[in-house]
Amino acid sequence: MTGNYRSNACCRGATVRAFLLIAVGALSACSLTSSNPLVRGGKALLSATGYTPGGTTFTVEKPPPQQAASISEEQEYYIGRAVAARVLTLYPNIPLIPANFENPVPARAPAKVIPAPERSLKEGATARVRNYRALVTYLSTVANVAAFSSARPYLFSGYRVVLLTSDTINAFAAPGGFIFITTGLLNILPNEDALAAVLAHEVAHIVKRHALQQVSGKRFDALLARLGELYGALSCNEALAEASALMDQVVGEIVTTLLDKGYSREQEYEADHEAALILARAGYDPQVFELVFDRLDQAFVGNKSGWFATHPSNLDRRAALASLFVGSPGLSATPQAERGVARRALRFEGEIRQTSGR
Amino acid sequence: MKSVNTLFLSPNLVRLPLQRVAITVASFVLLGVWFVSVTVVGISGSAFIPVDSLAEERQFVPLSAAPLAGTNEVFVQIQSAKLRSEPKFWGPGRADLKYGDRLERLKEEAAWINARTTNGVQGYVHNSVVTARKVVLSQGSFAVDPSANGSDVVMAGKGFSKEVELGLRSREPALDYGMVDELERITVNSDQIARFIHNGGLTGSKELTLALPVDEQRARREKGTGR
Repeated sequence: MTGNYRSNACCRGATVRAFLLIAVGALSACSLTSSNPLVRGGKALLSATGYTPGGTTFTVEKPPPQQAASISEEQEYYIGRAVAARVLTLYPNIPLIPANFENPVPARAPAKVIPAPERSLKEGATARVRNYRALVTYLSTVANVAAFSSARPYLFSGYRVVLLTSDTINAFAAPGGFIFITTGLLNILPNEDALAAVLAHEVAHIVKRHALQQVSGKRFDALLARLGELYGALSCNEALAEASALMDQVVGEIVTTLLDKGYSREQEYEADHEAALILARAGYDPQVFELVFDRLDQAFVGNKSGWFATHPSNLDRRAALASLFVGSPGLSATPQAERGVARRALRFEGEIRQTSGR
Repeated sequence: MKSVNTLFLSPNLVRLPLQRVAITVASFVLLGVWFVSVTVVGISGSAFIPVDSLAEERQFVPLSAAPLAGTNEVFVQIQSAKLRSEPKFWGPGRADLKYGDRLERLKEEAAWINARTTNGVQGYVHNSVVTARKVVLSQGSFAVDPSANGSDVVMAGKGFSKEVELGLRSREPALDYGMVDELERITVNSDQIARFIHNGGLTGSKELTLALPVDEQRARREKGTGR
């Protein structure tokens, strides 16, 4: 075992003594993490004030800030990347060619003349890649405006939007700044302010670390305790395999929440609330949520999938936001914001029509 | 537009914080300035104030700032950042900061921290860039260094890290990390965001406002497109 350990690249140069110290460190880290209420999940973690559908206000305890920050920005980013990697296996039709894509043509193959129909197909594919990049840049810019108006404008590697090719109406956010929106949802949005409302809602989930809260506390504690034992008992390779398995499970739970289970109603209301504040700070019209709910209502055809399966009813969300607007005059649209709406709607039309052919 | 923190309202000429003001529907235009009627929560009476003043109210939308009290030493917790000359998201950068850099916190201005690098360069960072927890850069295993002092320390590269990601990739080759990398290459820089805000007429908070370069302002005035 010791030989394995010494020869392993990830633990190079370590001694048996250091190994024991690391094992102790790993175990102490486990106990620290297991006492971290961030990953305990559940309603006790919700912050701020939310609203029940009837309009009655409820207040729940805010988590202590130090505990909320226990998972580092770096770790959140790597969890987010893993969530994104899994989501992309479920939505494979992204018109981009990954850099590590295996080129089927051998490097020394003689250049061949591409027949005309094939060439136009290739040109079409190139245009799709270019359009996809342009559209994602636009969406990511709107998301970044929202992020700059939030309490967490900077993440380990920033915010970015991924456009998923799917008719299902949906949008969701992974930890670490990955925001997903489907072409189905984008196509029913009327203007940039409505788009900003959807993206601000997703930014709010990231700001509040809702995805990380979904990992059940008990489960997380047990997995980490097991990982702590493994550091002391196995070679570095085996410990790494277990750590990867743990990450896999965490990612699985988050993806299930994002795509199937949805967040709690309270977390959704909290994200709406935060999104309205974000829109107001950015200069977008917070009242545009009404328009978004209208479009979602129109698009609902009785099939509770995507957004409709993972979010409270629009009726309830309208009621919750209405309570917020009544109590917050700062969330009324100012004439300045209204003047800008038309300019932004034009920009939105230009971006969407040029790039998606809508 | 100057910043408006308080209002004097008739008939009682009461000085009040803007947060307590509600806008009503009455409005009129005088000498090209649009006035709206406002009422104050808990006090009878109303007043007309310029709409531009109300726009400033948006600065008071509360934000939950990350508390960093109790320490004068903060550490950069993101991959890279800039130390800015002003408490804004753009504008001249005075120093490039990277993950783990230590800064001396001099004072806080809302969500911005006036800080000094170890080289003595002073400027501003947003409080989400830094943490009061000590960031320890380390090489080697993802296993936790036993000298790490609990929750007061962030061990860079530990826990869910690049190394564990590599383990996950070999465990599940179907995961589309290639596409994640490709998507991460599509980036938006802060100058693009600044211009986007300006061009979209987004009259948000002061931190978001952009001073366009002088030559661009002149060009816009000449074209009649300036705001």
